[in-house]
Amino acid sequence: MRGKDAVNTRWSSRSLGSRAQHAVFYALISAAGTTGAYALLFFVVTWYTLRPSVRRRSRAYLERRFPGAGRAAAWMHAWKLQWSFGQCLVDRAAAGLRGGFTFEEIRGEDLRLLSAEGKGVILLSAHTGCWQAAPHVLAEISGLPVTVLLHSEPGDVDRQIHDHAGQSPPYRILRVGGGPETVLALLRHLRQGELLCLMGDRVEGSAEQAVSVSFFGAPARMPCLAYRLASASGAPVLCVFALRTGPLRGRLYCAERIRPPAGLGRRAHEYRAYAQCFASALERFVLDNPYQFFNFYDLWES
Amino acid sequence: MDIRTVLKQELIKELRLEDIGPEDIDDAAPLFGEGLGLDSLDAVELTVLVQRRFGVIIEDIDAARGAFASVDALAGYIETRKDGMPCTGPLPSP
Repeated sequence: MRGKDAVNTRWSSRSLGSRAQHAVFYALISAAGTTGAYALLFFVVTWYTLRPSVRRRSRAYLERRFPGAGRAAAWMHAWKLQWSFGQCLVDRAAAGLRGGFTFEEIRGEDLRLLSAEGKGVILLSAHTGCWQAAPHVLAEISGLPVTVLLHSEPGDVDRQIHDHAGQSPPYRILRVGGGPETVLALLRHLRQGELLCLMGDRVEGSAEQAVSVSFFGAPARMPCLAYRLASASGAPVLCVFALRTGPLRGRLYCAERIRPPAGLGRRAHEYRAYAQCFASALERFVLDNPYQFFNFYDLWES
Repeated sequence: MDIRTVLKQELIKELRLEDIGPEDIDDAAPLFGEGLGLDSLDAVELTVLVQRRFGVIIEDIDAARGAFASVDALAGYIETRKDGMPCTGPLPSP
């Protein structure tokens, strides 16, 4: 689970659980599969949801998604959100430790059509459902090299699927915060016609690299890196959201194509309309799948 | 025209730097962070600018690290990649 047990609601990549607590889950998954891990998860999620500091992390989102919910309903929404997130993390570990994660109903034709243009494709996603398994399947269905821009912090004990499997990832990883060289690398991979996976729902660079959009009826800041890269390179942006549909099962939704015109430049406000397209597509997805939106901080705070 | 002057003019125009002239940009000052004050994302437009105006593609990450250090360094990078041809000024926009 994300977020250190702290009062503030800023996002952190660090896990709520300790390394030892994670290890208990991994051992259980290795020995007994996901069923035993889900059973333990039930108690862990209930314990965490009892803690106000944990509930506070999802309050900003849940109050907007379920306006007017009473105390009991609000508690239940928080529990369901944590439960759903925990299941996704168990699945991620199980996919690496035991294999067997499958995606169903992938609408790969969108991706293949855009890839055929030869300008690369920016796959813009969000922290929804089983998003951490998506790059694996995207690499598989496209047959193209995939680069994923990841954010991590010192002390982060989370492990990706390939970490659990003890293998190299089937995609290239670049870290957020690498400076101009990282941005240049992203541009280069697009020029080579490759796939670039970015997240469009969290601002992980400077505030100047974000724009304000309407999200659940209130202003929220979202990053504009994807649209700047698209404008500079000519690569289309494909909004893709992952949904967990059951144990070790998921589905990818190609929700929107975005094509910023060339030469929009460096001013963030030039990209607001495109960020709004993404935010609206994400909002539609979240309305349908309220417990699969995993941003445990206040997106709407200034 | 000297390539540094052309580069500065293009930086100001393409990156829409406000209240600044070519004479205000120190040839040796860093382009990113302190100095000209560009942020990492500005590398996108800077790369496109160099390709469009000077026909030089910046692809090698290690080389780019040096090239992005200052106007001097970037001008040197462009001159080297243009095979020593003298800079004749900006190319027409596409």
